[in-house]
Amino acid sequence: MSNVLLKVEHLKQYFKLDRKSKVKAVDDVSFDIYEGETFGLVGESGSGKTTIGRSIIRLYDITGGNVTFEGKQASGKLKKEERASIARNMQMIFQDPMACLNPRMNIRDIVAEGIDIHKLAKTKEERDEMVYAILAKVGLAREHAGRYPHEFSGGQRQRIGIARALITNPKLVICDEPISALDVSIQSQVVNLLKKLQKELGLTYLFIAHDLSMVRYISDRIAVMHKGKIVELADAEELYNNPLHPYTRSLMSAIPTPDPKSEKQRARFAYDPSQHDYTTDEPKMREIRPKHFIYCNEKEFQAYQTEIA
Amino acid sequence: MTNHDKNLNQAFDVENLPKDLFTFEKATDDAEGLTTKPISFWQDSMRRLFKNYVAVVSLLIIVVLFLTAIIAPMLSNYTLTGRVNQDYYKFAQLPPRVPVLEHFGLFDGTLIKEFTQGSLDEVGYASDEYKIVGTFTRNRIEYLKVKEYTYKYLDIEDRYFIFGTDILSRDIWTRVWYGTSISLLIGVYAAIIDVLIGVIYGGIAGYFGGTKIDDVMMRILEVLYGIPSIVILFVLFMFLTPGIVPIAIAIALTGWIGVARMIRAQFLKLRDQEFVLAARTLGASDTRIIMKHLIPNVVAQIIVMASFSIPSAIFYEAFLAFIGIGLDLSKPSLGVLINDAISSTQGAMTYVYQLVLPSLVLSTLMLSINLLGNGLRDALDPRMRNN
Ligand SMILES: Nc1ncnc2c1ncn2[C@@H]1O[C@H](COP(=O)(O)OP(=O)(O)OP(=O)(O)O)[C@@H](O)[C@H]1O
Ligand SMILES: [Mg+2]
Repeated sequence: MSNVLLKVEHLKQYFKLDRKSKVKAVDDVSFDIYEGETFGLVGESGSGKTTIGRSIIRLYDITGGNVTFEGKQASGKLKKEERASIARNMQMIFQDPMACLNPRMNIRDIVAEGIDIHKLAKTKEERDEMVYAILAKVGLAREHAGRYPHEFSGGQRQRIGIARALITNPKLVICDEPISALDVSIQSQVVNLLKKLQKELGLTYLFIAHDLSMVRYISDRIAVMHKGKIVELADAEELYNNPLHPYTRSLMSAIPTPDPKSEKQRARFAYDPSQHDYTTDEPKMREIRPKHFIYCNEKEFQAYQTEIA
Repeated sequence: MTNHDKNLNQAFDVENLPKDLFTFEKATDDAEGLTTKPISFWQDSMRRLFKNYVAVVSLLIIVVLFLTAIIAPMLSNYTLTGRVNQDYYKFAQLPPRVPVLEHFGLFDGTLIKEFTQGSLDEVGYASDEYKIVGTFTRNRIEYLKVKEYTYKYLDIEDRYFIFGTDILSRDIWTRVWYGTSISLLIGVYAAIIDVLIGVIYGGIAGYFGGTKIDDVMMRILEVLYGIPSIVILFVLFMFLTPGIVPIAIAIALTGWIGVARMIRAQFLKLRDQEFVLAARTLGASDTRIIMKHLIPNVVAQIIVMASFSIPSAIFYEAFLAFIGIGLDLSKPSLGVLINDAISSTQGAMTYVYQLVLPSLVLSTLMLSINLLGNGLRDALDPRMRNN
C-alpha cells in the first residue's frame, strides 16, 4: 500500500476516576493507517474504541505515546496553526444522530461551521454554494439547508453530520460507530455513501464498530480491541479466514450466518482472558504472518505458529 | 371486474380521458418534510405558548398592568406625594369612587362606620348623607353600622378619587400605579442581575467542570448558600442607602445562586454532547463554543428562570418593606404602600380599601407573571421536545 497517513505509537489514555483509581481506557496501542484505506476497529463495548478515536483527534489530552499525522507531530502541545491544520484535515463522524447536531442551529449553519472557523469562504454566496455542494454530495437537497435538526430522520441527520465533517476537505475521517444507532435498512445506505465518498474524495477512514460483520464489508484492514489493547491486526480477509487470537475467534463466533444449516451448527463461545499466563513471559504485538499481528507472549507465539503451519 | 368497478369505468371512461387534463409532476425522492415552512425552536415554542390560554391571559394582564403603571401616573392630576387639596382634613381617607360603577353600588364613595347612637347624633349627618345598615353589640354597648355617603357629606360630589385617598390626603390611584412601576423595576433589575451573575458564574464553573476552578467556585457557592439571605440583607442595608437599585442588588445577591447552579449543570451536560465535540474537532475556540453552542441551548432555561425571578424579587421586596427594611418613602413600591396603609389605618375595617387595593395589584401581578413563567417553561422546556 501507499504512504502512512497516521501513525499511532504506544498511545495511552488513562482516566482518573478519583484520587486513587483510574481506568486504562487505552493502554499502549500502536498502529499505522495508510492513505486511502479503511482501517476498521472492532471490540466490545467499553474496550476503548471511542477513546482511541477521540485521543487521536485531540479531544482528550493523551496520557502517553505519540501520534503522527502526515509525518508531522499531532499530539501534545502544538502551535495554533498546526492545531488548525489538524482540525481541517482530521474529522470525525459521531455515533448518535440525535446528539450530534445542535438543535438551535439550522442545517446551513451546522454544515458551514468548518467554513466559518477556518474562514474558507469570502462571501456569503460562496459559503452557501459550498454548503449546497456538500449537501448534494451526501444526498440532501439545498432546500434542506434552512431547516432544523428535529425535522430530519436519523439517516438524514447522519448525512448532515457527514457533510459537516467533509466541508473542510479532510484527509482522515474517524467514523465512530456511525451506523449503529440507525435502522438496519438505513445502515447500508450510509455505509454505501461513505464508500462512495471515499472513492470520490480520496478519503482515509478509521472506522469504529462493535461487530465484525459490517466492518468486514467496508474495511481493508481490521484491528480487534479488547480492554484497551489491540489483540489482533490483519487484512480484513486474512482476519476472517484465519482468526488466531481467542478473543477474535469468540467475536467471529458471534456473527450470524445467512445459511440456516451452518447457522444451526454455529456455536458461540465466550472469551476467557485467564487462559493467558503473562506473569513471567511478557506479551507484545508479534507478526505471525506478513501483515498479520497478534498480541501474545513467546510461548503462545510458538503455539500459533504450529497451528497455522 | 366487479359491477362496481364497471360502473366506475363507465362513469370516468378511463381509457379515453383527455390527456391535456394532466401534467406530469416531478417525483422527488426526498420531498418529506419540505411541504411545510422550516420552523425554528423559537417559532415552535411561541406557537406552543400561544396555544396555552392561561399563559396568554397572564401575558395580557401583565401588559395591561405594565402599561397602566406607566401611563396612569402620567395622566393623573395628582402627584405621588402631594396632597390632592389644600384642605387637608377634608380630603383625607376618602373612599374609592368611580364614575358609572358608583351607580351599581361598587366604588360608590361610601364608608361603613360604627357609631353609638350618641356619637352619630354628634356628627350631625343630613338625612341623605347616611344610612343605617345594621346594629351590633360589643361590650354590652349598642353600636350602629352606618353607611356614610362621604363625598356627599363633605360636599365634594364633583370629585372622583378612583382608589380614594390616604391619611395624608394623597391620591391612592396615583400611588398604587407608581408603586407598581417601582415594584416591577425592582423585579426586573433583580432578575437581570440574578441572570447576569448566575450565567457568568455558573457558565465558567460548568465549562471548566471537574477542574480545580469548578471545585473552588462550587465551594464558595455552597458557603454563600448556607448564609441566610436575611442576614446578608441586614448587613447590606447598614451600608446602602435605600433605593431601587440597591434593593434590587441586595435581592439578587441571594437569588443568583439558583441560576448559577442550573447553568453549571446544563453546561456540564452540554459540554460532552456530540455536537459540542464536533465543533471542537472542527477547531472551534472556547468563545465560539460557549456563544454558539452552549448559550443558545440554555437561553430557554434562562428565560424561564428569569420569569420566576421577577415575581419572587417583587414579593421579597414587598416582604422587606412590610417588615420595615429597605423602605424608601420617596419611591414607594407596592410593599411600602401596603406597609403604609397598615400603619396609618391601624387595621380599621373602614379604611381597608387602602390595604386591599395595592395588595390586589401586587397579587395579580405576581400571579400572572408566575403563570406566564409556567407557560414559558412548558413551551420552552426541551424535555417536552423530541430532540
Ligand atoms: N471521559 C471519561 N472518563 C472516565 N472514563 C471514561 C471516559 N471515557 C471513557 N471512559 C471509560 O473508558 C473505557 C473505554 O470507553 P470507550 O467509550 O472508549 O469504549 P468503546 O469501545 O467506545 O465502547 P462503546 O462500544 O460502548 O462505544 C470505558 O470503561 C469507559 O467507562
Ligand atoms: Mg464508543
